[in-house]
Amino acid sequence: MSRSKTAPTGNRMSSLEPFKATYFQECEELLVSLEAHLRELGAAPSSREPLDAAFRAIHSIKGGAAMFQFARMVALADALETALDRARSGRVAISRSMAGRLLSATDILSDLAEAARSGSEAPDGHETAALAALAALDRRATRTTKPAQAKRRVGPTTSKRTNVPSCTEPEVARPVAAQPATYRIRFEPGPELLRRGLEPIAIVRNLKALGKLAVSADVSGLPAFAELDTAILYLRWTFHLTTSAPRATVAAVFDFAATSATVEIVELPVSAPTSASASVSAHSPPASPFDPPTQADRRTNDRENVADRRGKGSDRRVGSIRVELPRVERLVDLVGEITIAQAMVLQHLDQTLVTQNPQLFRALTGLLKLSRTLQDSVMAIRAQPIQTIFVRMHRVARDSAEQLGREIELHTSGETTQLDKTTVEQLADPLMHIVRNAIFHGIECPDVRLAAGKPAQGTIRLSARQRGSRIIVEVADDGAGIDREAVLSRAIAMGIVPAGAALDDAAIDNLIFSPGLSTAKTISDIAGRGVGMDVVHQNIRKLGGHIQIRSSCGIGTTTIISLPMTLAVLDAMKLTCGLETYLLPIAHILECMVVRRSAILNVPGSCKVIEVRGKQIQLISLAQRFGLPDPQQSERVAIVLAEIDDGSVIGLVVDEVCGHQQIIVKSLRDPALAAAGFAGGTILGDGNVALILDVNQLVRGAAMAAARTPRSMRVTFNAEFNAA
Amino acid sequence: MIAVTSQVDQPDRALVEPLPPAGTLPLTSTLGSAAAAAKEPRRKFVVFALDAQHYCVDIMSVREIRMAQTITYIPGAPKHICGVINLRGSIVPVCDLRARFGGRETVLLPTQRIVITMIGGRAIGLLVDDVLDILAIPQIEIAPVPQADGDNDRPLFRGLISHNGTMLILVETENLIDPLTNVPAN
Amino acid sequence: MRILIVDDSPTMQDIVSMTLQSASFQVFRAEHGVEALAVLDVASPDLIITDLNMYRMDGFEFVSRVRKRPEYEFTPILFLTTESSEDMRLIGRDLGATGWLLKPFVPEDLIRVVKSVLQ
Repeated sequence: MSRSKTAPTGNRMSSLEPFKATYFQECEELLVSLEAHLRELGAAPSSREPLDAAFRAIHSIKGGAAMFQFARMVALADALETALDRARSGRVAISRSMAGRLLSATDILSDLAEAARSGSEAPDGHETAALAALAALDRRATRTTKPAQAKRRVGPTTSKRTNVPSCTEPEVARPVAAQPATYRIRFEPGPELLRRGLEPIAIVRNLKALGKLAVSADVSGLPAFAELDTAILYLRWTFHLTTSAPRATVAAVFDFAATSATVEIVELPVSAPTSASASVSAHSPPASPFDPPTQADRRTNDRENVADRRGKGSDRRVGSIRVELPRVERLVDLVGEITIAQAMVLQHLDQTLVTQNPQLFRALTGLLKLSRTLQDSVMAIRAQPIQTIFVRMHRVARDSAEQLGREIELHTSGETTQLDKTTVEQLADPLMHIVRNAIFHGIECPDVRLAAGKPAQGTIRLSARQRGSRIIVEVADDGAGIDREAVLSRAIAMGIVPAGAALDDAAIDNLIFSPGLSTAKTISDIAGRGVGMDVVHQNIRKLGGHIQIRSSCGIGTTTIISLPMTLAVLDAMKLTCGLETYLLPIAHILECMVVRRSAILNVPGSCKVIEVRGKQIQLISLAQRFGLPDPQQSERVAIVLAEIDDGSVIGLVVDEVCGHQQIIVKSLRDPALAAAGFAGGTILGDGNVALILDVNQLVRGAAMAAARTPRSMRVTFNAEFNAA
Repeated sequence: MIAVTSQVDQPDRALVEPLPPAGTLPLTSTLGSAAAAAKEPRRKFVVFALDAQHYCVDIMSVREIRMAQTITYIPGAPKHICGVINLRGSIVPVCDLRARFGGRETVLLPTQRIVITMIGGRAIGLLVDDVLDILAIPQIEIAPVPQADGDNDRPLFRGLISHNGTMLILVETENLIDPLTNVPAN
Repeated sequence: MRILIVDDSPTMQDIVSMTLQSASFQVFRAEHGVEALAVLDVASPDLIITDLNMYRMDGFEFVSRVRKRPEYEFTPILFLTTESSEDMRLIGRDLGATGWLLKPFVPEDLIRVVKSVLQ
């Protein structure tokens, strides 16, 4: 970093005039406290606190004086500051007499300040003696044998004392370029540039302001998308700038960036030789600003690429401690309670109180942000990337493949998806079963595959991603798919399914999860024991998740596990349906709209739809789906367009969309609730439970017949209540 | 003592008395007839009322007793599950006992109580009209229930107790709700 | 755009505030690092200007803590101080500061620099 250069001194004083009063007031207070601290030092010369406080006081006095160009004050204050700094660094020991001398100097400084305040000048030489005395102290200090320690501590440290920039700093001679010059600037940012708040776009903008700019970016350093770290700059630039501004001004654009980047500014000769006989000079070949980087340039870039990438892998090893799980769980719960408690506070906050008291509102929103951050941090303690089990799957795949004589390649994606630690651990076994199953039942022998036109090597893709309030883990293979005939006949033989039953493909596929079902001709060590998929199913259910199989004959099979995100703070929209409140994760929401009821079209024999920008969107009425009492037939209806997993869009018809809220997802995994259509629950600010909608389940399900009065029970005071 | 119900199901705790309930009525504790049963091992029971009938449950499974509070409806839940409540940050299902025992749907009133009970390893609330007492009953005074409905392998009632001229029906809490495991694929 | 100025001198706070406000910035003030961290979320600044030598928490510690917060990982932070040593500037850079401005400064210069680092 370099300093911003001060401009010519001319008009500085006038613009700061209004602030003088404040300064003198501050100055007076600082002088008083400086005096007090120095007296304290005189009485107890080895005490640290008054020394630091005195230093800070004189430092501030000096800074202000410099702003207003009170040169004599600055000079004396600087001498005082130097002396105190020497004392702080231990180069000089404070003695009673030294403190006395500092006090005298302070008195003189006071006089100078008084003079400045009244707009007059103190008598010439008033401060000479004081300056001399302080200079003597300084000389004594520099003669000490203690080595100068330029310790890189955070906090006030010793530093190489440079000369005080005097207020009448000589102007940097800036010859104004008579004609425009063209510069080629190479800008190669170091990895930490962004983390210093420096944005290349600002640099480009500033360069552009100086003249005609051509920008060419070198993207060869970009890694594969999956490895991209958004906090690191992989690009480097070559600028060609034609400007009348002097070179120093051009260089100044990179002032702040220069310590975190390589900047090379080369002035190009204005007239590019046009004859073919122009020799390529050793330095910079004269080139038009729009030529692509030359071979040589590209090679250097590549070299730097490698160096950069090596440096890029920052060592993320940090210390860690062991904490018992119950303690962490308690912490997570408490933090969750805080969020709910806050929501309650906000809920009960009288609106008028807020509008009359913006500071209150600001304070509360500040509090909310803080606890949200706290929440995220605490949740992160429990979180673990799914990578920890994904990596084990490679070995599993290799071992199984070897045992069976298949060729398998395992691809993983979404390894950084975060899950609760216990979920991750409990997912390992089921996942292993599924991968083994895919290899055993799914992937065919290499000969069979080749005959079918597939590559001899089978592929299994393991992926994880967050989808709203769920984590979706998929295992997909490109094998033969489920042999539905075999499964069905086996199921019938085992009595799981009555003979002659008509099941669609998906239903047959999901028979795989039935206990004891195994279509293996030989019971082998791996999966044919029939122990596999039903146990997997149970384990997933225990985690509060769902599991599904989708298969295409000859093409492959995909097992989809959907797990609740028990750790999440989710952004959701509040929807009401009659007296019931539901939440829908914002991640699923495309759009909210209010339409006239007449815009809803009834497709006979099917469902209701609405046309949005030329497309027909299927509608699901929450009231109807949940068996809730039909809302009043209002003229206008609220529709929330939501995206489901396969990418299609449905519209949820509700009474009202009430607003955005941050919620904590609470599991609803009790099967007694048979809660199909919900991803979980949450506690709202009023202390009541509200359910979180799962659009995927809603789409799959059908209207629920209400087993009892479809209404939340609220405590009412019934006048006719008979206490018998 | 703050009891924070975490999302991990709490193991069954051996209790003699229930936890100090949050904002609930104090419970009186009386002893049964002291006479012949004085030397018999006693079990303690929480007694509650549904309409005119008195029931009781083993105190070992009771965690706390709460006043009537808003119960959120769960669409698609069976008839005897009237919804869920917020129990200190956890979502707990509530069973409408009256409906469960074959009666009508309960209408929530402020005088009712929700008895938080451990069933099958997780907390379930039981909605009752009123909680009356805690009684210590000697084992021998618990009479078996006549099996009126043939071979029901999951009877709702475990025994009958005659106490001070009143008949108490001892409820088998474990059979009120489907167990956690053994659930059909969705 | 919002700017947070952290300086224990009321005069300096005044000067920086008024200067930047005259260029249509919204300015928040804090006396030292502790106070600044407390108001950070309320102020939500797009740029932070801080002194180095301050009571209770100095500029280095303040910058280092600010950078640890994800919302401020990439926010420009400028030191505005009388300290001119190379050592100090490098420490500042390593802690993640964007730039280093020297006192005394010309108000117009401050505006120019602020505008050049803000997007």
